[in-house]
Amino acid sequence: MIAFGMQLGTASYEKPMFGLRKEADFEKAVKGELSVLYRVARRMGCSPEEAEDLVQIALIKAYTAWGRFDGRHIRSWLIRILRNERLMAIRSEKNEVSLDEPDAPEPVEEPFWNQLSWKLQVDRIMEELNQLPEIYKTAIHLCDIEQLSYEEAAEAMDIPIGTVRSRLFRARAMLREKLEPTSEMTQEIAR
Amino acid sequence: MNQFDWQEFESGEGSEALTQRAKEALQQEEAKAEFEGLKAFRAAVKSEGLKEMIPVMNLEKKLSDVARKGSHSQAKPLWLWIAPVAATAALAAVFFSSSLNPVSEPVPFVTTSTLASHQSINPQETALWLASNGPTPVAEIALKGVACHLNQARVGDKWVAWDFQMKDEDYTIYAKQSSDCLRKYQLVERGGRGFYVSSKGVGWRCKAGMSYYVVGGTEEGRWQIATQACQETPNLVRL
Repeated sequence: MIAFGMQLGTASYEKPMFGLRKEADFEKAVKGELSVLYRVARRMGCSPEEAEDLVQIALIKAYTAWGRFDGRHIRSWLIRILRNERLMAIRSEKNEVSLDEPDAPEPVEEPFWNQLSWKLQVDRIMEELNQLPEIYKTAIHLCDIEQLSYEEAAEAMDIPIGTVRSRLFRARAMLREKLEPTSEMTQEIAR
Repeated sequence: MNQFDWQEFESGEGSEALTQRAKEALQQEEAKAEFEGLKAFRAAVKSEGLKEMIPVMNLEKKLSDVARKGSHSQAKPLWLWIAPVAATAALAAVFFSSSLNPVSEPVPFVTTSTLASHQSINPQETALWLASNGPTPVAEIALKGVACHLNQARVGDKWVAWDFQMKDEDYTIYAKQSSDCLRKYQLVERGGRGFYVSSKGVGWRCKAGMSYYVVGGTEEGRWQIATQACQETPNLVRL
């Protein structure tokens, strides 16, 4: 059988040509991405039930477009479909989501990651993450939780790699600000 | 100072020059602490982010359903294409030669049986098929954002239809070039748009003289489909 390699996460996957086994191929290739899609949907503000529905819609769209998929970065491709559907649904509900870069802090110059104080508030990370604007929490979710590379995240969000970098940087800076310890905590650290 | 994109360094995505400079910088305690801090932060975020329970069984069932139902649109051997066309042609010949009585369908303007159908889950492909087989130009209906899937499209005498499935319920959107066929129904406003409502369906009209009508499933489902579909049909008549 003539085949070409398709990257599937970190594994590689052989996608047969001519669509002879389209159904089985699609199911096999996508099965491992279901959890990722569900988590991304939840991060985008869906309730558990809405997230399941959104994943289903994305799967239908993906199946329809399966023949046109180039075989690279299936995770990014699926996330992009799911994200587009979510943004479209939000727009149609008239709750416009701004995709413009909101006023964001300039990149911080002083050391940040060597400060240990934020670690005291790890349990607040997700709470604060969910409060960030959509474009920033998606950047953190894809790069830090799902561990996508810059290239994969750029494909998933349909933006240049440089924009992924700056969004991620700004998102982390915002999180850092939110996770700054209170004065009581600082005293606790001092003790 | 943040001289490096530590993540790029860690993931190996950076250039050789960046990697080399980063390695040299890591000889210093401050840079090393910064790098380790970022790794710890990412690990903490990942750990927290992956804690949520995933309804794996439900998702896998949905995937199977999509793949199974989507198989209608797979590439088929030539004879599988010819057979339905021949059958459709035969059906059409019988219909026109014998002047069959109109089949009673639950839509006011659908007074004849189906003459041809096309199974596909692809809205774009379906629109092309309708454009070449239907009696009148119609919109591409994808029902974006609605958790349903297209099963097939049909054409009859002066009407076309899209068959969808949502939550195990069957729905059909009918369309016909007619400005009057929905007038007998109650006109209801929703979101600044006018819909014609009966106990069995929800309809709307467009400027091109087209009327659309959703039937089947539940009332809630019909409204959900009508609300989205009317946004996808061009030149909507607004109240």
